[in-house]
Amino acid sequence: MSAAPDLDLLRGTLDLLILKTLSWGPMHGLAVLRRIEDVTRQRLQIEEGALYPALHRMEQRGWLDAEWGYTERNRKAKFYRLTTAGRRQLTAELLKWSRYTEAVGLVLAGEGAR
Amino acid sequence: MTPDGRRPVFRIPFSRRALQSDVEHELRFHIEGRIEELMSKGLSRAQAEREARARFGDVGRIGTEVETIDRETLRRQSLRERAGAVAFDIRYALRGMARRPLYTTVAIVTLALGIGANTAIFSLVNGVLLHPLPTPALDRLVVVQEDIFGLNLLGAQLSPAEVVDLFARKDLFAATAAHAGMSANLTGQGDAQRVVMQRTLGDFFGLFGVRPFVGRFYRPDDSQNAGARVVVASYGFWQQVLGGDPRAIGRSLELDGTPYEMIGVLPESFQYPRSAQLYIPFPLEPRWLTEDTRHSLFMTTLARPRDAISPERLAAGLDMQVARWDQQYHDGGYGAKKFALRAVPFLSYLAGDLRPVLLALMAAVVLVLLIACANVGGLQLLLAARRAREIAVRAALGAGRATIVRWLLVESLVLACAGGVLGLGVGVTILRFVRRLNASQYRLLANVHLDWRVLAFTGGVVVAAGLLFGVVPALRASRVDLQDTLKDSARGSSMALGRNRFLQGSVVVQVALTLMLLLASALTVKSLARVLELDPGFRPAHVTTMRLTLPPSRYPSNAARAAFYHSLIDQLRGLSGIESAGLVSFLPFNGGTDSSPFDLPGRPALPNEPARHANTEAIEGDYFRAMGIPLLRGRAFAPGDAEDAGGEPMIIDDYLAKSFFGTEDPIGKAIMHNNRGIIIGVVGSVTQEYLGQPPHPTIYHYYANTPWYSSPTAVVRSSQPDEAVAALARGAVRAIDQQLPTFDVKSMPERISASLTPRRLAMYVLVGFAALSLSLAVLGIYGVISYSTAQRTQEIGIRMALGAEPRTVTRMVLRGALTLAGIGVAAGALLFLGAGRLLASVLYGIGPRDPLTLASGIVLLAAVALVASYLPARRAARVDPLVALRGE
Repeated sequence: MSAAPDLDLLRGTLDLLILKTLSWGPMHGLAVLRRIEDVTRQRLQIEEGALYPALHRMEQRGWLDAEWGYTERNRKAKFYRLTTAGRRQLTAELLKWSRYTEAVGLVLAGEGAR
Repeated sequence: MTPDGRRPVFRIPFSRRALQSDVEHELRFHIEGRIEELMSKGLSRAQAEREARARFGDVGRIGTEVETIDRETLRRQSLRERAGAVAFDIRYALRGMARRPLYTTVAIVTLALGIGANTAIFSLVNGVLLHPLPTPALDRLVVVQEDIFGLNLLGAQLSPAEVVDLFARKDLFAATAAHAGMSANLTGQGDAQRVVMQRTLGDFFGLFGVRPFVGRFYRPDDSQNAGARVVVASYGFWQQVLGGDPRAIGRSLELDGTPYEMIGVLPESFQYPRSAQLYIPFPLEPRWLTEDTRHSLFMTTLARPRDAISPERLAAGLDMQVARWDQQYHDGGYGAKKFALRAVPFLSYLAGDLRPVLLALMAAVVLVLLIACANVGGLQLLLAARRAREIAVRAALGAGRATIVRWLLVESLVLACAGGVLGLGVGVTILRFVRRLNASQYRLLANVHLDWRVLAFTGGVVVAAGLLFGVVPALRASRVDLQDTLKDSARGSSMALGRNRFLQGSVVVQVALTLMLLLASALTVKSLARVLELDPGFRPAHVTTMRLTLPPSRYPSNAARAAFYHSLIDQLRGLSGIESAGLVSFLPFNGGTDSSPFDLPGRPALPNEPARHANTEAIEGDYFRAMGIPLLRGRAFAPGDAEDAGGEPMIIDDYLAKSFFGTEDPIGKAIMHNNRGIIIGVVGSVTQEYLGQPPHPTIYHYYANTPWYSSPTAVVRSSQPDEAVAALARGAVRAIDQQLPTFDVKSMPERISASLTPRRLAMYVLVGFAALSLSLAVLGIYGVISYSTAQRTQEIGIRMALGAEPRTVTRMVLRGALTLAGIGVAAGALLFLGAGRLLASVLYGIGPRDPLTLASGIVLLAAVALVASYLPARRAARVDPLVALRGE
């Protein structure tokens, strides 16, 4: 059924993924997860339960707002929405991430050239 | 889904259970969603559920984790909300204060005076009584003193041999040390100068837990044999004499001609004894451990008792030590000494006679604060009455009673904080004044400054004051009758009745406490006046004094010293403008005496006579004439008055003569005092240490016969200004010995005045407090009476319409005010009769219940209350009945 995932999720990147996903619009936890799976074509393995402490912690920091609402199928679910602070945080995290991958990329490229 | 931009109404639920069910629901939704998704891909329900749970992980653990996070979120949220509400209240209070500048200024200044006075007095208590030194657990240190009952000598120091015996009592003490003062001439550092030194025995620095600021300290065993030639400097000495140079360590200092190696510097915060500049190991020579020297009591003995030793066990241990000595030294006359050892807390030893003064002042300053609080509390109530509508509006808009109380309390606290900030300034000003009073004997006062303890205390006082004057008005004002207040469009007079009782209470409290302060200050003023009337036994005006010390290296023999004294007197006598000059070994009001037993051969002791023990003075030149001490019988010493066949000529004072000879003429009688002597004269008795001291027999010796005293004080009488006389005398010393320093140049009135410092301190501070609280009370009475007459305008109008004379109205208002003042005065007088004992140790020649003082205080306060309420009473009488009855 579930294809073996190619990559383990790097520590600390879960927050970034959640922020990025929520930047497309408010959604509940399961939807966040599905969106990530879709986009990565299921190459990332996420322990699904770990999503929730992450969501609530970000809510505590004021990056997310949460609200009970109803899905299209009329089920009660908790929806998360990015706040202004969350948006700012996303920009900062993205910058950090690109610097990080750039640096790692440089090292890996440099090793071959030696 | 939620349209963007709308503020979500969701908040994390308050109750623990709701929070738990929310989390459960969220997680269940996730797993259910997964299960449906998997089943749509063809899995059976059971398979799908297993797969979904496996992917999710441990539901229970994750649920708990999320709950914990939410609870924390909740806590932070409510904290933020509460802080926000308080911040709002503070902003509101500040705006309100700005709208009422006069009221705000009066309240803040009143509080600042009350709080500032507390800050200043607590600084004194902290710096003098609680933390005079940076030593941890300073309150555990004790001073071991000797009471010698036979000689009526209480609180004496110990001899080195006794100190060494006590050091061995490791069962009682965790640490022990002793020190003895001396002075020496320092040469080789610019001009010759005299330095104050301490010779220490035992672990002096360790006992105080002090660490070197620079260099190192010497060790207890450096006292062995002749003592190591090393010296530790105080921070002050290092700065002033050695220029704060760290390279001074290792340098050699010449003290009385002997070189000492400078090895360390004490930190600035350690100043004990206050005057000490240099510390050297006490040379524990063998002679100090013999039985003969057990009578030489000159070492101040300090100890830190073991933690397990209670004061009672320590006292018992010291008693046993005395018993042991009694047995050991039975034969040497030692047993006859009849004495006891006593451990005194170091802190009270250090504070000395400042202690009762400071405690009395601390009590007084609390009264000042209470008066300030009663005053501002009254003001707050008046304000709340005027703001009844504002409060009612807020209540009508849904503010609960708690909200209104919090709002009013925050206002009070903001007011108190402003008063506290200003009060620190007031405190510093008062302290500056107190430091100006400082005299050399009370160096402790110079140590006083604002440290964190004082700031913490002030903070506490601010909060206490804010609550004290804020709580009652806030509770009262919050009990608003909405209907009445809003209906009565003119003013909130309908609430006035109940509140008046508190207002009246504030007047009574202010009057009562003010009376107490007034009485206390009047008593200290009278005491000081009585003390100043006391005759010290000499005429201090026009007397200049100056000390000098002959170093043994250059004046090794008695003959050399005697020759110096002789030529100094000759020099001084030859100077024009100097009426008379003399030398004395222990100048009165210079904080020291030497006393020893005497005997009167052939005169058996009378049953009621005082102990045969006398102060010893060695004098030279015209000492009696210079000091203005009257010669009552016989003659003064004359050159050539050496020992002859009859014995050494000695002069006794009037007290000794009257106590032991009665009406008999003592001239020519034999006396034994260090030597076989014969009485050649009787002079008037002199107060030795402080005014009001009980008399003690005194015996004068001629310096020519006792030249071993090497630190005399020159006493010069002259009608010229003090500085000119001092310059002349200094010149006379220099003419004989270029290298000899002179020091401690002071006029005799200055020395007497310095001995009165604690009395002056008590008097000035109490008078200041009394004046302050009297003016606060005037303001308070005026404010409250004005307010209550304004409240009664209608009633007064009716009375006048019905034919009441203005005079009757005035009298009615005055009667009300004086009733309050009367209750206050009665309460204050009763309280003072109860608490006046606190003052007893500060007073002299007058009891704390002196009826005349009590009566005049009551009359004064009643008069002040009358004046303060007269203005509002007269205003009430001018009410126009028509205007008053129209209701506005």
